[in-house]
Amino acid sequence: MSYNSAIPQAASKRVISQKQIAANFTEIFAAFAKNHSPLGNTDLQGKHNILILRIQALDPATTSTQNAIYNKSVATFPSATLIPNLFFRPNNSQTPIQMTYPSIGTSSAPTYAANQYSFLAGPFVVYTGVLINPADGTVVNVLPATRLRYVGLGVQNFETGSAIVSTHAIPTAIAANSFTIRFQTSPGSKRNIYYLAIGN
Amino acid sequence: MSGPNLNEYNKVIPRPNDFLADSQKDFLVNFQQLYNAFSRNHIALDAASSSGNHTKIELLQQPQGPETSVGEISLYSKKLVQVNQTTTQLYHRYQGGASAGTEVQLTNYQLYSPGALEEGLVSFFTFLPGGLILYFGIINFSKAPANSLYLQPYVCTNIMAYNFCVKGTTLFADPTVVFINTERPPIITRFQAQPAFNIPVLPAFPDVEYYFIVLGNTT
Repeated sequence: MSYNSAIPQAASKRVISQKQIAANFTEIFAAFAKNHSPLGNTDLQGKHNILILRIQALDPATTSTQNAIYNKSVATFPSATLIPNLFFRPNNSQTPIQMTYPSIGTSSAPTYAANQYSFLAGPFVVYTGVLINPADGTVVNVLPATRLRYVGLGVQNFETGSAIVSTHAIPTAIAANSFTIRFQTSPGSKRNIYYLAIGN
Repeated sequence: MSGPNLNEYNKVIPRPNDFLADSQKDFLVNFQQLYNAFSRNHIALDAASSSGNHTKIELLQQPQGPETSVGEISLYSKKLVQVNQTTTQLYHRYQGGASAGTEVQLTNYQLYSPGALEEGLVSFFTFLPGGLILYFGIINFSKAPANSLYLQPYVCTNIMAYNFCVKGTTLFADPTVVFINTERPPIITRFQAQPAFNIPVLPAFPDVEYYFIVLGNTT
């Protein structure tokens, strides 16, 4: 039996209304127990256990004293698959901000876990990884594909047995979701290169 | 057998044989408890406007993340056990369907002042979703103890990426570094600058400052 907002009726007999009212109180209890600490525990009732958000077709309007968090679909790049994501809307219905990215790729695996990525509000994808003793001119492709806006490199455990002018490594040919690592070479030189890249 | 608590919501009233005088009291208790419960985290039922909106969301720690359906995402709090701390953090779960939906740790280590910093170091830190810590600031290796960048708070178990950029105009002053994790294994506590062949960063550039950014994970 579902909730009935139109009972009791003025002409209803009490034996009928009793069942309808009891059913409504039961339905209210069941509905409120979703996402909330259930009715009955006066210390906790009303607080949330979880917050499940359904997709909203439109961004909710906010007044000067309101913020909103909600679920809205985002088309992934470049496949355009629609994925629900978390959004924040500032007060006065200002521009909505996407808080999550459609996926994430982090792990607690070792330092050398390559091609991990997280996200920043915006949305921006933050890529990290390391190349162990790469060759000059190595091309790095980061996934998921975005348009890279920043690439930074760090050189670790540099070794060489001969003269070299610079230990520096630089990213070149930054296009779409790839870049090329360049550095000065010398016989026997080695280095590990960490990269940090941001795309959207 | 004890009877129902007359001050709590009762989902099975009125009973078939109750007198109206009894039911009236039951109704008042239920309506009052509904009002009280709804007033927590929500705008009260008798508010002049916006009834039904949330005022805040207090999340009680969950033993595990809820399953989500297609089109649904969820937010919840869960206990997080890390190397040197146990906290309750905010989690997000993607839409489910065939699978339960991927779980993402949204918040991380409690933000606080890292305390007294080593000489030559200005440091800040924040977090990224996925259990990551982001350190950033300014380091002068030649002034810092042991020519090292200390990663405070000491919670990183792996370095995922880092970058140093010279702050100023000293060319070719690019540091190469090694990671030091022997003090408190398995936590990585510092980067140590190394003089490179033909480019003796130390002490050839004694007062070079670098902007640094370091990304590490904590589990």
